Amino acid sequence: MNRICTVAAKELLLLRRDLGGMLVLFLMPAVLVLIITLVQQNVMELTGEQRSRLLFIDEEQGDLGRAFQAALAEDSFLEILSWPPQRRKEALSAVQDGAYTACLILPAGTGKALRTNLEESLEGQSLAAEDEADPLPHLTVYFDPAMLPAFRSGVLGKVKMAFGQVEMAEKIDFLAAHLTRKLTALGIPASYLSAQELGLAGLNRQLLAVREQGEAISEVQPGVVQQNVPAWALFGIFFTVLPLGGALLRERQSGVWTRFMSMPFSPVALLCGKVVAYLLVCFLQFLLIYAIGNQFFPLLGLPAFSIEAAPVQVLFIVCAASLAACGYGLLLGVVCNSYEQVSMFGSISIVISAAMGGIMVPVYAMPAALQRLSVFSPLNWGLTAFHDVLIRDDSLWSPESGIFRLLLFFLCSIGLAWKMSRPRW
Amino acid sequence: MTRPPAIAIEGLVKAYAGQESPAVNGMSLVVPQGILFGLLGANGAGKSTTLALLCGLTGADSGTMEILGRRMSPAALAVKKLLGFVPQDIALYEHLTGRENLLFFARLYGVKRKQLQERVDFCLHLAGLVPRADQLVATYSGGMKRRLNLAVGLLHEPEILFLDEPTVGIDAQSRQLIHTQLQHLVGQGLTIIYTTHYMEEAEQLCTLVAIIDQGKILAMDTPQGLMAHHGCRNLEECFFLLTGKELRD
Repeated sequence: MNRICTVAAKELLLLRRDLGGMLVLFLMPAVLVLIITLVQQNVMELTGEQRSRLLFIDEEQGDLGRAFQAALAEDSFLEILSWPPQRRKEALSAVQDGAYTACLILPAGTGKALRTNLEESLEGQSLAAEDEADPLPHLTVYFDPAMLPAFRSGVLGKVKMAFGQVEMAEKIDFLAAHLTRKLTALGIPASYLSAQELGLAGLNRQLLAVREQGEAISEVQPGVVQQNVPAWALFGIFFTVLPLGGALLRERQSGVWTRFMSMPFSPVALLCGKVVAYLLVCFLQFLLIYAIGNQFFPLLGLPAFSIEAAPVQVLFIVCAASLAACGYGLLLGVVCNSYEQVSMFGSISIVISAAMGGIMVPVYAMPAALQRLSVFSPLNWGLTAFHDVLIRDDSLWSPESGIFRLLLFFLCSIGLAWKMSRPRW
Repeated sequence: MTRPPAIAIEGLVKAYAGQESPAVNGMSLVVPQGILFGLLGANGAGKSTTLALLCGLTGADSGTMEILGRRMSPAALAVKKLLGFVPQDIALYEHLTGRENLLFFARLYGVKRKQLQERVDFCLHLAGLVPRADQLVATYSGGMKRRLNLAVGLLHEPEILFLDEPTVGIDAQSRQLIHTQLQHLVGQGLTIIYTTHYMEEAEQLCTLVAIIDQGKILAMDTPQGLMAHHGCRNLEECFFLLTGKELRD
């Protein structure tokens, strides 16, 4: 045990004096998690998965505008900011610059034109719309030119639906008033002729619905933060293979391992000491990334990363992923014959494994062939384990769980490292 | 009661895959305790493999090895406690100080906490590195690194010290210091097994020398005895006489 602690302390001391290694281990994942999360958050806004901020300029200043704004506000994906008509030019400029998703302008006289059209419809006259020189009263929508077409059509659909609701309400009110006038003329008392009595009041209710299946069961919703914090923490953890493999290789090349082999103890203690040191490094890495996700992200307007749902399970996952990374690092240190091989092969294999495993792009967004390959990526096993406990409320201890694959990977790689290294040592 | 020899090997064979002849080919040798024993040979003669076998770095294909009367093998950890090994490479951590290197290896050797500081200070003094003890090894000269490399092998007070060409590529002052310290240690009863290319050095330092070639011992005696037996003026003449002058690349 003393020897394991001695080796671990030496590894940590050497690492502390290696500025480049420290940057790779701590700064790189911290920067990556920040940048990638912010970028993906922006992409989600562009694709409508986040609330869109719409400016609304009501030039009519009447009931129609108020009803329309209220209808829009019912949509949880839209945030409506009402600006006065005097700021029209400023609003269009802000949308053009990308500060807001769109600007909706309700022209003066829209309500009056709607009522005129209703009267003409009920009296069987042709509508103004049929005259191309005098189109229907309309709401004008200006979009941010950078909006993706699919997102633009999604927002436009929501605006049209809200506008349609308002139009329907106006029609019902107008029809009720029209019927009242006609029936009063026939001698029916006005007290019997409210919209309720006429049976029109309920027509504005929604009578058909669309229901989306596959909602998340847990309270924690998978968002960019829940995807990226564990993903980039795992990426950082697996990058410990570079300093670990490099350190072992340097010991082999400098003759230190030859000296160790002449000493009165098993080299297993040396391997264990290295694993203990880098396990600690991996936990520190995870703590750093967790602190960024939990404390710093909210300052940037992002949701906080939380492990409250399963803190102990998360620690087990970090431990298993760290062991897998250590095993792989030791294997590289034994197999490679130069530091260039360790750094090239190590970093390329981790980046490929990260790309394949859903660290950079979620697995569900990959082509089918790559999705099938993702099950071979140790980073995917770790990420799946995080998602299992934080999002899906699944058990960490099921036989097909990622944590067992990570532990098996550790045992296989360290066993292989030991077997392959013996003749050299 | 007679003391067992420091080393007793009988019919030792070690072959590497892909090589035509064994690196060590039926070697037999007895080295008494308390002497400085020189193992002399050209490149590829089998010196380093012999040391690797004796230090338990690798196992023999056949034959027996005894260190101080105990059977030696790579798994013989109790026997390894008795020996110190100084490899030909500078087997140190460049980004630790001299003192940190010694403390690290001393702890690995299992030096007791009470003796730790004392042994480290002794080895620093022996290597002439007290003024530079707290500087990184990366800042040391080649000679300083060689001296520290040697000092690491003495941390646990071994009974036999194996040195694989400890004076390669160092200045005359460092070589002189190493020679003085080695003679001092032998005077205190330590057995030193020493490989070198420098015949003059072996002639000056060694109590007994063995000249080996192609994994076999060609001759073994005191330097003076070898010279007298072969009618040579110095050990180098004897060496060439026994091994020839062909290149051994």
